[in-house]
Parts: sequence; structure tokens; C-alpha cells
Amino acid sequence: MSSPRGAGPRDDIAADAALVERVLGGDAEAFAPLVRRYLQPAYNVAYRLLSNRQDAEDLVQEAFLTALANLRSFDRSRPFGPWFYRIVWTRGLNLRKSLARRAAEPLEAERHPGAADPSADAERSDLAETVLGALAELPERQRLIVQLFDLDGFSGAEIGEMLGLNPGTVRWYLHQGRRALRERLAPFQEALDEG
Amino acid sequence: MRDDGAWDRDPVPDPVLQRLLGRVSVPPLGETDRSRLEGAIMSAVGREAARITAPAWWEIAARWAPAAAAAGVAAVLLSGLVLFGSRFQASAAGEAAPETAAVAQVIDRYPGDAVLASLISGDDSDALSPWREP
Repeated sequence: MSSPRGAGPRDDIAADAALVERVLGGDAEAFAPLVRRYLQPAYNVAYRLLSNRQDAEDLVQEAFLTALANLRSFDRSRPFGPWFYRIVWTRGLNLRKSLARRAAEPLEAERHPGAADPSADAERSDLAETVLGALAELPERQRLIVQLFDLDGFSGAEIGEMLGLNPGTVRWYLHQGRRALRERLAPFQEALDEG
Repeated sequence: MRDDGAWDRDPVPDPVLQRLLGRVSVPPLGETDRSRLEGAIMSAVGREAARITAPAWWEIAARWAPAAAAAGVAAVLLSGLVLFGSRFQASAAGEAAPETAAVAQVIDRYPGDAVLASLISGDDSDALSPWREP
């Protein structure tokens, strides 16, 4: 995945702007590199919001079409990523409202395919359960910010733009969320260090 | 596993927390899923692109506005000239019309009269046609 952390180098901004220019000129194929570059981070945002693979895929697809439809309003002097993630986020919130019954379900834990080891010991299972429980106990905003920052590599500024928050506020939520998680997970520190 | 609590810059990533969260996190899209999703998005983009990227009417209007304004000014000037010219001609024709009609009536009444025709045509030569006994 292309790392979303940081506002993006100037040449990325220029490259994205050139692609957008071509799309607006009628070259639909120029949209493909944008899809390739932003698909994975957008999927991560969508999954954090919806906790369901299929819904996340549907949301990402819809968000790309929405971005295409609103491409003329995109300020080409600014990075494409945060503008696009904001679309994913706002449409995701709308979609989640219409899928409210799923929002009430517990967090979906998915293993890496390679890690689906039937011999996984009870301790590791306990750890996973505890991590999931600690995450579920966090206020949603804190949980999403911790996941977007520590797992998905978004910067505070990018998360702020996505959620409509000041970056300083994002960092405060991140601090609160991390502190709560550390308190809950402290008993597992030793086991984790052992690997 | 400590932050310095500063809000003006991002804290450093926490590797321990990342490992813990990674244990229960959804993996990134696999290559197969990624290709499938990318293909689905691009085929939807192909279907929608022509409609979506077509310029809106106000953009077309804005693009043609200078030419339309110039054409409008030219049309106003041209119609003004035509109107002015036709009024001028009409007034000139209005003055000449009664006389012309009267002359036409006289010519019709005396079709073979050479003297009359000469007078009317403005022939000012002194040469008269030979006199003939009626």
C-alpha cells in the first residue's frame, strides 16, 4: 500500500494533478493510476468504519465514482489523498447509518490468511480477545483514530481532514486512546515481548 | 509505549501497540482481491466517465461567453446600421414617390409622345425630331 502518512511530496501532487487533468480532458484510463495508488488506504478507512469486507469494497467503489463525479471541484494544487479520504469517510458515515444493524455487532476480528494456524495456543487467543475487548471499549472516535494512525499509517493532519477535526485535536484523541489501550494491555506486554 | 503529549506534531508510531493491534486487525487487501476491486472500479468508471466528465452547461456557456458577447455586439451594430440605412432610404423614397407616380401616370397616358419622353428622361439636347404633319 502506498503510505498515506504525510501530506505527500510535491511531485506526487503534481503527478496526481496531471492525471486529474487528463481525466477531465476525457481520458478515463488516466483514472486507473489514481485507483491503484489510493485503493488500499481508502479500503482501510472504509473497513475501519464499517467492519465488513464487502461493505468496505462497495464503499470504496462508490467513493471513487463520487470522486470522479466531483473531480472538477478538486483543487489540483492540493494532495488528492486527503480530499479523496474525506469522500470515503463522509459516504461511509452515510452508508453506516443505513446499515445500522451491523454497527451494533461486535468488532470483526480477521486473521491474516497465513496466520490461520489451528495450533494457535490459548495464550495468543486470550491476547487477541483482550485486544479486541480493549478496542471495543474505547470511544469510537478514539478507536478509529488509533487504528488509522498506528495501523494504517495516516498522519494526524490527514485524519483531521478526514474527520473534520483540527490535527491537534486528533493527536489528543490519539493520546487518550493509546493510554487506555496500554493500561488494558499492560499484562500482555511480557508475552508480547517474548514474541 | 509513551507519548510526550505534544499536540503540535504527530507522536512517533508505537511498535508495541502496532504489534498488538496487528494481531486482530484486518489484513490489507490481497493481490487477487485488489485486482478484482480495481477492475470493478475501472469498468464502472468507464461506464460513467463520459457522462460524468462531460462539461456542465454553465462551463460550456462560460467557454463561449467572450465569443458570444462579441457576436452580440456585432449583431447589434449591424442591425443598427441596417435599421438606420433603411430609414434613410425610406425617407428619401417617400419624398420622391409622389412625383414618380405622377410622371408614370403621364407616360402611360401618352405612350408615343417623344417630346414628353425626352422631357421626362431629362434629355436636354436641342436637337428636335423633324416636324411631321399630323
